[in-house]
Amino acid sequence: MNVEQILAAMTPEVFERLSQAVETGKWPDGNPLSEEQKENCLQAVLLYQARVARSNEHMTVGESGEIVHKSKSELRQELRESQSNEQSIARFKQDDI
Amino acid sequence: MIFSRFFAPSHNSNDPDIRLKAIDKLSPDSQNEKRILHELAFNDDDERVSLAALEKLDAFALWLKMSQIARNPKLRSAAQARVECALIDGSQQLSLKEVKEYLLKSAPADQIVRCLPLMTELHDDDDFVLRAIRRVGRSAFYFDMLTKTPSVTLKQGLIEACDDTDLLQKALKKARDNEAEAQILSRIDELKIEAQKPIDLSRDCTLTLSKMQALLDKSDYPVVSEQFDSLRKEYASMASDFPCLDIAVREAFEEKFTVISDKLERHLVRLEAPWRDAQRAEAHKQAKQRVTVTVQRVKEYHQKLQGEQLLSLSLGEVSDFQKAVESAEAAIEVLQGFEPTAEEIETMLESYRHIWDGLPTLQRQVADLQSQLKEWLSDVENIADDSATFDVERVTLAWRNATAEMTVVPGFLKAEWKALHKLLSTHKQQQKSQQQSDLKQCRKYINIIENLITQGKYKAAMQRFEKLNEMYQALPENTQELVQKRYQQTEAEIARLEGWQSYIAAPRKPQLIEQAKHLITSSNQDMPARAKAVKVLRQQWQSLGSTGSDDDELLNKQFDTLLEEAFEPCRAYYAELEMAQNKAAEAREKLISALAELANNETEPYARYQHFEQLKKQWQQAPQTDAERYGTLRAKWDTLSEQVNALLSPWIQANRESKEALLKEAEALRGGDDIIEACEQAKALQQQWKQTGPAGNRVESKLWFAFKAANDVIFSKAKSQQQQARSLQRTELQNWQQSLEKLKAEVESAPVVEQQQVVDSLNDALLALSVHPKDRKSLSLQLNKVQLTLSDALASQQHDALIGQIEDVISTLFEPKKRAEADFGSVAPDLPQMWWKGVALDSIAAVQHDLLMLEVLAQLPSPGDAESARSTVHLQLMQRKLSGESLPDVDAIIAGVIASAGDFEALHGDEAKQRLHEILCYYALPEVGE
Repeated sequence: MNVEQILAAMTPEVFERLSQAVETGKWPDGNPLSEEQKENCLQAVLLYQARVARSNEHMTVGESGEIVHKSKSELRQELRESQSNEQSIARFKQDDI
Repeated sequence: MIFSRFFAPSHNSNDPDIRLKAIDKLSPDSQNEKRILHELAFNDDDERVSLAALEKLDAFALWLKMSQIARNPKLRSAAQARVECALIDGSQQLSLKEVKEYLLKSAPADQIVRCLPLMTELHDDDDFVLRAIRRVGRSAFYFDMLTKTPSVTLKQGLIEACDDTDLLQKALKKARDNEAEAQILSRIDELKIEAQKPIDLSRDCTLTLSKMQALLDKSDYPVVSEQFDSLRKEYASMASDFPCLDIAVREAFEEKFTVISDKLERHLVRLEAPWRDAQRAEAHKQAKQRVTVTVQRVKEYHQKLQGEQLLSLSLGEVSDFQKAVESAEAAIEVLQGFEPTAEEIETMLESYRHIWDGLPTLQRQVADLQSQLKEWLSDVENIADDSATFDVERVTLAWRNATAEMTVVPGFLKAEWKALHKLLSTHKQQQKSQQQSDLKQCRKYINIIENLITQGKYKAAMQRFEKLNEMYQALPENTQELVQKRYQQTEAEIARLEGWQSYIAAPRKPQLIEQAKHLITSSNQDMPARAKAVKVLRQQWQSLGSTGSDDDELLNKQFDTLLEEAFEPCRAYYAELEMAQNKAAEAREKLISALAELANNETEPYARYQHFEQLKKQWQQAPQTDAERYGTLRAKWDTLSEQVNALLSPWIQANRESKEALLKEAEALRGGDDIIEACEQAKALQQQWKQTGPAGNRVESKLWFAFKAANDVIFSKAKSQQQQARSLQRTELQNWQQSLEKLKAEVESAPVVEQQQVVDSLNDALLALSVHPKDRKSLSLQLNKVQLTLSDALASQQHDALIGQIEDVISTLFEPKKRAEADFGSVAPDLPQMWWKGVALDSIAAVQHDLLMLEVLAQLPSPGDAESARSTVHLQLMQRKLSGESLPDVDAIIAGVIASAGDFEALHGDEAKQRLHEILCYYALPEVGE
């Protein structure tokens, strides 16, 4: 079994935990990651983002293997889209009240 | 014979009609035919034939008989009708007497009911009608007869004889005339009265019997007797009406009466004797009272005889006196019926009876004696004035003679004589006492003079003698004789002294003056001794007396001045002493007031006791004062101390009891088996002892020493026991330490597994040992050190053995020959047996993969060229871990690697062997794996 297969078989939950382990430096049970584990985890996360998740988020490894950089307008656009998809709460300006 | 059948008479025919016809032909006059008719009347089956025969015979007796015996109802009713017709209408065959007799004896009741009202001719006979009615015994018939009878007499008779009120009430409603109505009403009233009578009678009777019963509780004999008689009469009058009562009730009353009467009679017998005694006692008392009254009256008259009235008594008074005496005698006679009277009263009365005869003589004698007494009295008064003598014996004799002749000596004369006699005695006594006083005074002076001579106070003795001489000369001659001898001796002594005085005093006085001067100049600070010396000098000077010369007077003055000067420091000393004593007295007064306050204040007993003790101590330490004041203060102090002691004594007593109880408990503890427990209890008792207040000075120390002795016994026992225990512990500890040293040496020289047991046993023994915690800790440390040494040695041994076994396994594994025959279980018995039971892997890649996995799991380094594969394996394991799957079984992987290790050439290199060695070591050796 090579790395590709392992990544393909990896579930999003496992990826989530791996990325958390990389971020926090600890396994979910609280034990710290050894240096080897940190290194392998980081590689696996990067590979997963690139190959499996095909991430398009800002500052992640994209499908091309490069880090995704987005401009300010792109980010604002995304934000707006996400807001329009959500059920907004009532918003008022100061003069409205 | 056959003809007799053909010529049978017709009345024997079977046909009743023929028999009826035959009856017409028969005549009752013929005897034979009469018999035939009888036969037909009573024995024929046909009722018509019987009736026809009876009609033919027409006899009342036959009709009656038929009415009684006929079975055929028609025949019977016909016969009864004929009988009743005969009875009502009358018949020649029956006389009135027979009718009455029939009705009273044999007629059926219904027949009487039907006939008697119609038989009016019988209604005149009241007695018969009543008997007939009673025979019927029906009230309805009585009522019918009463209402329907035309006979007034019968009606009245029936009304009078009627006992049924209801019946009479009904009759009253039907009554037509006033007379009958009035009679019925009066009869009803009578009946009511009769009905009420038994009730009233039984009630009265019960009341009477109850009254009689109640008499049993009374104890007054006359009342009980009188009431019993009256109640008995009452009962007798009621008993005459008893027939109206039921027999049972009557018998019950009679029985009760008998029982109660018997009881009352016995009760009366019991009461009678005491009552008689009481009556007699009352009569006795009255008789006594009467005697007292009459005798008192006699005595009143007697008083007159005692007074001067005797001289002027009238005849009337004398007769009254006589009457009083007679009535007293009569009263005494009555009293004699109960008791013998006093002899003296009788004698008195007897003497009075004779007084009257000689009354004039008595009056004269009394007058004479009275004048004589007056004379004697005046004589006695004269004696008191001129001191003349008076012949008392003569006067007494004359009085006795005069009174002996008199029948009665009046009281006033006796009183006068008594006063005279007393006056005489007083006079005599005064004389005697004056004489005695003078004599005593004289003797006293003689004694004083003798004493003064003995003390050397000759001057004073001589002065006193002059006075004695005057007194002696004033005494009467007979008194002088009593002290004459002593007086003469004293006189001679005084005369001798007067000669000596001037001779002695001359050289002695200058010497005493010298001594006084020496005393002034001496620096003796002992003031009491100085004062005493002054006193002695003064006494000596006084003993020398005074000659009266000018030189002597000069010496006297000089001596006085010198002595005064010598006494001056003493005076200052005594002034200071007095001041100190005053202060001391004040201090003691303060203590007394403090004690009084303590006695009056409400305080806790312990505080009061402490304060009291403190005050006592202060009293003891207070400075001395003079004896007189000290005595007064001491008395006050003692009184208040007693008060305080009285207040404290219950508390002290309670303390004493509790301390005695504690002592008993302590003594009881001495004999106990558990000495440690006893010690604890003794300590608690000591604590209680401390908290208990004092038990009084006398017993406190005694109790305390006893309590202390009891405690000492307990604690000495405990101490010896503790010493024993300690020595035992010491021995045990030494043994333990020896064992430890021995073990230590053994462990250092040759450690074996069995020594662990020894260590454990020593550990247990250490726990069982009772040593000081610090010692225990150090011993425990020593033991732990040995334990560590042993554990290390054993672990090292085990480690070496396992490494050896692993090396043997690896060497066997990679030598095909050995591997084929090898029994890894025996080669490496300490390694996990599961390692030898694996299934060989099919490829070298799988073996490499497993090796890497084992290295990753053990975190051992892998060769550099397998870095990428190691990362993959690592990632795989992490993924499994993160996805919640279990990690692969290490022993199973090792077993697979061992089973297939020798099959691949690639693994025969040293590097691969080293990797396998490290892996096996890691997983086999505990300290590495952990």
